[in-house]
Amino acid sequence: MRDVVVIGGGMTVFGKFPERTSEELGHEAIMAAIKDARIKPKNVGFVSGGTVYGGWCIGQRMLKDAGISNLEVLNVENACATGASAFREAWLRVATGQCDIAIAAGVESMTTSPVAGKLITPPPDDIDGQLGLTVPVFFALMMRRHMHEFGTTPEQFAKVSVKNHNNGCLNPYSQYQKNFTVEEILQSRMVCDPLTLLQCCPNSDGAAAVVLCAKKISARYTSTPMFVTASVLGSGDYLHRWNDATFSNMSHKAAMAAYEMAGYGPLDIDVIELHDAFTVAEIMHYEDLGLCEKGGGGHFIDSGAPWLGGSVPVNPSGGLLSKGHPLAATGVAQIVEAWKQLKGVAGKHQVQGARTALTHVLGGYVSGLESGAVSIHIFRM
Amino acid sequence: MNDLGNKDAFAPFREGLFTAEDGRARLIGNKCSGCGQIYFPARTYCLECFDAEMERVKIGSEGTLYSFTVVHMPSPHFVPPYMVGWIDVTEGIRVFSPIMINEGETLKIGMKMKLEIDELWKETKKSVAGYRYRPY
Repeated sequence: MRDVVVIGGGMTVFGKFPERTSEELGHEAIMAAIKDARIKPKNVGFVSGGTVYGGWCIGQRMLKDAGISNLEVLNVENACATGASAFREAWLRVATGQCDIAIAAGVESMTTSPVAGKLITPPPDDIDGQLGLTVPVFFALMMRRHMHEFGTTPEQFAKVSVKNHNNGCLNPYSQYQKNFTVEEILQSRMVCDPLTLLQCCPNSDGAAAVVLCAKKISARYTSTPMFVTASVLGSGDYLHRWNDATFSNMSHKAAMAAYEMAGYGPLDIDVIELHDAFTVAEIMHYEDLGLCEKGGGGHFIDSGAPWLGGSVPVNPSGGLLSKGHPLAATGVAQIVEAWKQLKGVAGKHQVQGARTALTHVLGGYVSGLESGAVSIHIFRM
Repeated sequence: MNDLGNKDAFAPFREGLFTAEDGRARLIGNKCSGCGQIYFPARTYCLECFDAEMERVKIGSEGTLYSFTVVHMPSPHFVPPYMVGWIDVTEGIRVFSPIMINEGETLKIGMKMKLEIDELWKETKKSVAGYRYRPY
């Protein structure tokens, strides 16, 4: 497998744009990535397009006005892990030598989708769904158990949202640009006890794209290529094998595989973009990604470590909670963030001296499984 | 417990999932004759052994509360706020279920819970029966 580097990335602002189609949003992100990478459209050998609700042939539709056509395009869906899955697909094509330059792009227009303004409901044959299980309920159950087993407090969970909203204020691409106090997070509308509204990520529209290149030809495009040092994709195991609802087995397995592939571990990672769909998710991922000991997620956020300026800033972009979560765009947007961070061009939310980054997405409620898919990538400059 | 004999007026939300025969509420799952893994709902194959024979079992009349939440979101069937949770049943598996408490009661993880069969919601012209757990 050849060395693969990222040579460019771009994204749209995330927010609510019901007047914009998936194609338009995707096109904007792709053009920004191409411009950033300084490639010509005809250089591209492969494109992976990702969307959950955006309909068929999203890759081709996003490319229509980009001057890229008549090439291999594959479209990818893995629920919230779609963007990272699309990136992995593009990475594999370059790593195996099928082409030298590839683009991975993810887009979601939730405001024009079937779930616009609604909750994502489980399918009618899902027994637990019939009995009241929804995604926020699933996370509230994990949250309460985490509080019971480790004494994690509502304030500690709320701090994740405070941190990520602080960071969002420093990111012009973030859907939300508003600071909140711990009290405001806890006083926001109760969704499922103890999960309040400001502890849940919003519905969002947006797109992101990344240009990947074989290392050996990358010098003509950039003097600061970002190496892909690990790429992992996993699916969830059966629920009956998941005994401990305070710990994401699948994230942990994927992380261990990623560290093995990269040849270095969590202590060597300078900045992380992980899947904070809910505050409890981020607290749990501090543990399952190996940033702190099991059960120590609450202490970890109290310690200051994952804040901007801390020892391992987590979600400096604002994360899903503040930046927003257009499902298929998120995984790619995290990689665009890693690219900016390692290049030193992240602006007001720059992590000083960052040389390695990890991105992580997880999602897809599937009845009978821990979750649908998890994908982790590690990068270094 | 209601009379489940009158099928027209009181239908289970899903057939073959639970029973209240002999006046005792139980869930209907199955068990692998090879490794003993229990499944609820019943699976066609054992996910551990795949080939082994499966036998029907009645389980879940009692359990311990593993976690719970009070839901304030709208739902097709339940009027918020309503309670749901995960119950670790005596037979060793974890079940997701609606929960009902008695007046003045507070839920606590670790509580002993008992299964009951009752009307869970109404649809036009009929009462829909299902299972839920209650502390005891």
